[in-house]
Amino acid sequence: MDAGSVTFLVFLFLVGFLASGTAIFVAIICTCAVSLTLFLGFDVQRLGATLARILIRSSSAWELSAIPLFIWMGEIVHRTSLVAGLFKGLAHLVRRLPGGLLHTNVIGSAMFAAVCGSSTATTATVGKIFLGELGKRGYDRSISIGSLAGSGTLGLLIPPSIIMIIYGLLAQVSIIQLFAAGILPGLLIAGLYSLYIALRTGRGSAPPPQDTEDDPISTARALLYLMPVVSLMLLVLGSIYSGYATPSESATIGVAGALLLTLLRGELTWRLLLETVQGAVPMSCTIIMLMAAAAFLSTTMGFLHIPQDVASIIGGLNLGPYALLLVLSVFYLVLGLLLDGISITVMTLPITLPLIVANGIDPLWFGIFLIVMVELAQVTPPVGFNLFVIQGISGETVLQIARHAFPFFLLMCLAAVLLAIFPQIVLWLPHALYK
Amino acid sequence: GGLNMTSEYELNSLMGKSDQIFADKVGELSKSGVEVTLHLNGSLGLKSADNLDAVSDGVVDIADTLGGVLAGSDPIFLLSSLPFIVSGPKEARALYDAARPAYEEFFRQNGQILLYASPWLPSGFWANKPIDTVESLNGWKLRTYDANGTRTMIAAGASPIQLSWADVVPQLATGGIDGVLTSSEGGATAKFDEHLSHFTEINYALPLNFRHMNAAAFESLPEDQQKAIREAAAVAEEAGWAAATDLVEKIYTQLGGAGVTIVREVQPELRTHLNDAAKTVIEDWRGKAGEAGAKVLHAYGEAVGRQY
Amino acid sequence: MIGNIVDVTSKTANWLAALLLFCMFGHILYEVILRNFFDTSTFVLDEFVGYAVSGLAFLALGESLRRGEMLSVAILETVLPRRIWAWVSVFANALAIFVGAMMVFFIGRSALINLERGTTSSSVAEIPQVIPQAILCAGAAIFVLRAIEMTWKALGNAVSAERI
Ligand code: NA
Ligand code: NA
Repeated sequence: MDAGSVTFLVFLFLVGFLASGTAIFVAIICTCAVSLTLFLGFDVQRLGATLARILIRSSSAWELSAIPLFIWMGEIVHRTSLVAGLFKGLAHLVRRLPGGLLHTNVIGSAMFAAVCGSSTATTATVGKIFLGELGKRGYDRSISIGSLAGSGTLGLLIPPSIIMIIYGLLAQVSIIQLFAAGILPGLLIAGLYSLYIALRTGRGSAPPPQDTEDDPISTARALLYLMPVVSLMLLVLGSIYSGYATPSESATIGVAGALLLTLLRGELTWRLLLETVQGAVPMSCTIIMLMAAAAFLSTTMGFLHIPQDVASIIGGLNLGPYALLLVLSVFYLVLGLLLDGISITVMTLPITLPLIVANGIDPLWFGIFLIVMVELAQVTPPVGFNLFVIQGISGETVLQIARHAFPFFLLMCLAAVLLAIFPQIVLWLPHALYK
Repeated sequence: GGLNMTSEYELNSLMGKSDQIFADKVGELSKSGVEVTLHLNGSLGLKSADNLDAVSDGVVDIADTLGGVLAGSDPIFLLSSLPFIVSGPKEARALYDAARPAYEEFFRQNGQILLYASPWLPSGFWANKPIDTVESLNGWKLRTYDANGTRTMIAAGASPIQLSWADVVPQLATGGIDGVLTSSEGGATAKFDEHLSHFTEINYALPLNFRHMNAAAFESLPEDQQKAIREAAAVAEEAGWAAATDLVEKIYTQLGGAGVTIVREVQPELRTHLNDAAKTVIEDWRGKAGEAGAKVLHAYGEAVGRQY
Repeated sequence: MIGNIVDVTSKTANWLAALLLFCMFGHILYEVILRNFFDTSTFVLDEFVGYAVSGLAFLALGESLRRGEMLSVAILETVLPRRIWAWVSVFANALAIFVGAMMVFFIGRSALINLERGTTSSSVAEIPQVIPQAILCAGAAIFVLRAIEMTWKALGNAVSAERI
């Protein structure tokens, strides 16, 4: 059977198991079990041994600790007066923008992306803080969910970023330059989102902001409201760029800072501590198990050798640079339906990178392009981590969320096209800084 | 039929290249009777630490495994990463030859066969200054890669730190650490030249990577294919050891071009100081490895004309 | 009675998961302080935090499943007749038993092999590998008990839906 039919069947199995309503991680594991047995003749011993080995390995990666810790930080901000202050401050700042507080998702994600290396943790934290509040204020649910799904992916593009480190090590591209290269494209995408929100909502369609005064005093008060959370961000950011903490450790600094803030405001109690930890556990459990199951799917695809085979076929087509990028984009989008970003990168790069270099494309530029492709995978069903996370927060189904996210998906595609036409968006900053 | 081989290394690395040579050679020598599907970059989701069990259980047929991770199963695998017992590739080969029967026995007991092993380039000191005197070590904050390195560097008066490999570059960029104990090649791959100016050749150790295969899978193959695999392993092994010698100068030239100063001479006092620092680690290992370890070390001493 | 025991164990395991979150927070903070102010390290950060992350996920499995916080995509629920959907739910819960049982058996087997061989980690801490793996196995076992309980309930629903 050819790679295309096998991929299609794997896809069908997954949709079938998911539709039964079983837990997503169970559905993914069942899909792998059926695929490995059917296509490769794994017996139950080999299947079980593979499952155990991959689950143990992938769930005990220490970099994952950022996910429960940032979720915990989100819980602390969410359950204390920190969240109210944040909203009052932001509401004042965005009062003139059409769409009002809907921009908080974009601004919050971009800010949070600067302290967090994972898109999943960014979405979970920002969603926990903002989504409920936007709902309470009567904002359009479709746009607030969609914009969260889209802008949560900025966690990957705005440094620090786990996937940039992985790409840098695999492609032998400077990680520091990659970090710099991600900033402008990240801001570009955030800008496109804000523009879209403003155009789609227009003036008047959003509920009126509570605070419409325009004098310097209320502006000063708004900034004062923002102070605690902004200082928390600065603390985390500072800890990374001063070298006190690694990007993987920054989540702990974030929790410590949030606890310190609640202590200073006299809100820290045992009860709060227990409630926030208990609140963070189920979502952390779900996401880590999903990641472990996704790792098993990635292993399955690896045994089936699908990504490598297809990438080789693309290599044999002898396309020019633009055609190659177009074909690779489609390839990454299809892989992104089933696989997470890190798996896509690790499995395909050995074959795609030489193609890229042979076509005279800068590997630094391609790294950022690939990360945009991976961001797209975060919001496409059936396996899309931002969709899963938002389902956990909002209770809507993956398909509904994917529909809300679709305009933002298209905007990200637009950004990818812009990056291809104007590579300087990627390359200008790293060259200015490091050459 | 096809054999699956897992390796966590990338194609351009020393180990990745060797794995590719082996996989290609098997296909060539068996006239495509048996093909090795090589999964590089850990793309099957397996790390070195998983490989022993993964091969035993038949998850994969062949694996490329960093020796040090097997130390939790048998201390013999710390031998090749003991500090300062080999001075270069030649002595590392003598050590490997002395230990090979012990390695083979270990894999046999786990239902596997040892195909071949090959070394990393010698590890040395990456820093922003020459680390060529005893004083230059004092309080120097560096990342070490295993428990032995950590203990040796503490004994030598430096401040070793444990970090995951992915965190090393961000920490170098921000000054969280001042240096790294790794090979010239390891630093070149991760572009240390952007953050550090000196590589001091100290020949700390030449750790080994092992390629091992499920014994049942091997024995189920027809004789000529078994022979092809053994021959391919021998070819890859020789290529791997040759690379350890040939590559050093090539990497030095490349690093020189990137502005890294290679420090080849260190004060004799530093050498003595480091050897003293390594003594406890080596003695402890001797205690753990028992008679089998002592025998290997003795045989190695005979081969290189030193007393162990 | 049996239901009570399952309840108590899965709630206890969930508290242990919360405790592990505290522990990883404490360990990373301690490491950052040691590295920056005392130029040293615990030397086991990634290993111990790794155990804590996987332990957290597995120990919380049972309780997350009971509270309905395990994510799922029940797209057929609104499409299918209630009677048929009730049987699909039985199947869905049975899948969870199957996956849970695979995890218990094979992670448990790996733990036993490591116990027998005395395998330790290769770090300075030399942690016997049976310990973290046995914890994961226990978490998976609680998950299976919960899944059995829920399959039983789903079966009850399906049977009563048939009667209507
Ligand atoms: Na980020
Ligand atoms: Na996707």
